Amino acid sequence: MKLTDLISSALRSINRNRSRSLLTMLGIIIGVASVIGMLALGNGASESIKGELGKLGTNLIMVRPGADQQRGVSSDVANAEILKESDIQSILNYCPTVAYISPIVQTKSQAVFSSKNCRPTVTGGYRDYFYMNNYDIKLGQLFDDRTGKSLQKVCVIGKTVAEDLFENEKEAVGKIIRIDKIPFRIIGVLDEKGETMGMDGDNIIIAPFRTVQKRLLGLSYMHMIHAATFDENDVDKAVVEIDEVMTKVLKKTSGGEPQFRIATQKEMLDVMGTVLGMLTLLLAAIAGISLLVGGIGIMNIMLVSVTERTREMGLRLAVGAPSNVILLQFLIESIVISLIGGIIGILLGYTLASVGGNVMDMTAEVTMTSVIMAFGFSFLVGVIFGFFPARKAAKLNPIQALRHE
Amino acid sequence: MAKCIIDIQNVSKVFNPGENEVRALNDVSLKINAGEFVSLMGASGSGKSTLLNILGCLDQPTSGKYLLDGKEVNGISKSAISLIRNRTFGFVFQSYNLLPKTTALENVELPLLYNSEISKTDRRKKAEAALISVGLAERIYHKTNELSGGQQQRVAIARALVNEPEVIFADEPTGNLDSKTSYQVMELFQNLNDKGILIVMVTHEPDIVEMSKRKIILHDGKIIEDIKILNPKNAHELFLAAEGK
Ligand SMILES: Nc1ncnc2c1ncn2[C@@H]1O[C@H](COP(=O)(O)OP(=O)(O)O)[C@@H](O)[C@H]1O
Ligand SMILES: [Mg+2]
Repeated sequence: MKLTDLISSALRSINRNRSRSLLTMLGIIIGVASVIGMLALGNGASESIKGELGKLGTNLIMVRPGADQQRGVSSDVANAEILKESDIQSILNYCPTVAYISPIVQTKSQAVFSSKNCRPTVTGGYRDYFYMNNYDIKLGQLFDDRTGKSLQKVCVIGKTVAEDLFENEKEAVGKIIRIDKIPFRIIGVLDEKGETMGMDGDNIIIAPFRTVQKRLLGLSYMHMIHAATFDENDVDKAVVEIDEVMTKVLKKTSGGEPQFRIATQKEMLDVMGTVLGMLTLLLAAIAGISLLVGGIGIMNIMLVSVTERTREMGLRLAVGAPSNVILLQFLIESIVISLIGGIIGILLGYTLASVGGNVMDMTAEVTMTSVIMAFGFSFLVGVIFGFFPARKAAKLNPIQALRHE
Repeated sequence: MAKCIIDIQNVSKVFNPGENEVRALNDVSLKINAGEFVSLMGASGSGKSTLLNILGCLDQPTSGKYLLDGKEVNGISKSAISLIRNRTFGFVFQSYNLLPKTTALENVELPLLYNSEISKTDRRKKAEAALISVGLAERIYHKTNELSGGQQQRVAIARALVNEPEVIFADEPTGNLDSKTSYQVMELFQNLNDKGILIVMVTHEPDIVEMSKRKIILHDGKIIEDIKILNPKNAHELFLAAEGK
């Protein structure tokens, strides 16, 4: 029998047993498409969250007032009068790995320009605050010197604030806006930061630390300290150094057990990484189950049709087909079905990934491994269960096969 | 003296050895020569189909010898047996065994598919010719499930004829046909037999037997009668008579 004859006979047989072929393909399609789609979406979600976290700056170290959670302190920790600006100098003096540092005070305030107003987060910090948190200036400039000239009433605004208060952000630089009735001169507009985990990163105003601390809030302490190293690998060392210095300094000033916490962006990233890993694993498990379900579906259909196939085998044997040729026919039939199903499954998987990615606003990239794995598994199941009943039947004599029940 | 084609010696066939043992053939010996037209008769369950299946190399005897054209079948390779089934023999099953959901043409083409000497176009021509010869010119492209019992029977016969075999085995080929159609099928067989094709046919209808040349009667797996029919009836004449001409 020629190959063309074999293939055309396989196609005819598939067409003749349309429902059986379609159900088999369906099993393969479900398995392949779900694995490819799910893994793409899982990877896409985890990549997009990682990307968002990456915007925050990976070398960042945050020092906050308040005891460890275990000790059960649940007072308004952000307002605990613990961290003083003098601590910044101590850290700079004794922590050689710390390259950038800034005290931080934060508040939500109303900002007004002529008849327009908005309600951004106002942060007071040093110039390093911009570097550490990856803020880039788009128009104008940053503060004059590192700390911002003492009590200078200038500010840098985010894109949302610029849009809310001005027709065109280019007009903003040089204008005087009022933040809680105090006039501030805008010296710069920041590059767009976009949304980070659902929060508008551009609805912000940043002003020199002391200006916000004293003029706007009337505080003598600060809300937290941001510090950063040059090198990501120095973060752990810096944490140890800061912890040592702060413990010493705070013991001296307040006596008793110092109450502060140090957190790093890296830690948060690691935690998120674990969560995302679990998410991907979960999706992989679901995909695996669909693969299994698809596989069982294929098996069932093939096994149900064994009688039919065995009789067909018997007839072919009786009219003089060599058993190896019939086996080849059945094998090619299984391969064709599995191939068609697999290809449809791959296309559907891609569609699923791109549609799901669009809906969830992320790029769900299909990985080659998932394609190969899903396709390989379903293909094997399809071929093996299509082929083995035929192999068994080939060992019978024609009459036994024809009488099969 | 015509050449001996089929020679079985002391053949027995036992189904389900052990518990529910059925001895379908019990020590049967039989010689059939080229050009013969043999009818196998006997009550239901007497072993006719079993014998025919063994003669047609579709089943193996439990014991005994089968010499086909002088060669012992047991010693022939599997692929050579396939070749014999494909080229030398044509088999008509009692239950037709047509491929479901398939046209008459495709069913008749089936044996040719495994004959690599025949091209795709020849395959079609031969299958069409065979269908025309059994009077199914109008039904070539019909699916088998759209055909009557008699038409399906004739598709099965066309399939047995298509590879121009030397021997045709037919298990109750007229079993499901009315007498007029039966005469047509028998006329076909007589014509084939006149061309030198050996025919072995199972039947239980006495008037059909009279159209063959030799009658063998089985009873409980044994041959109890084996006689030559001296003046076989002419199927064509019987058909014309039935038409009332
Ligand atoms: N595959 C089989 N398994 C068991 N018994 C069988 C089988 N085929 C035939 N028989 C038994 O062998 C005997 C002869 O059967 P068969 O040759 O079909 O008779 P018939 O003369 O009606 O064609 C019967 O008793 C039947 O039940
Ligand atoms: Mg029978």
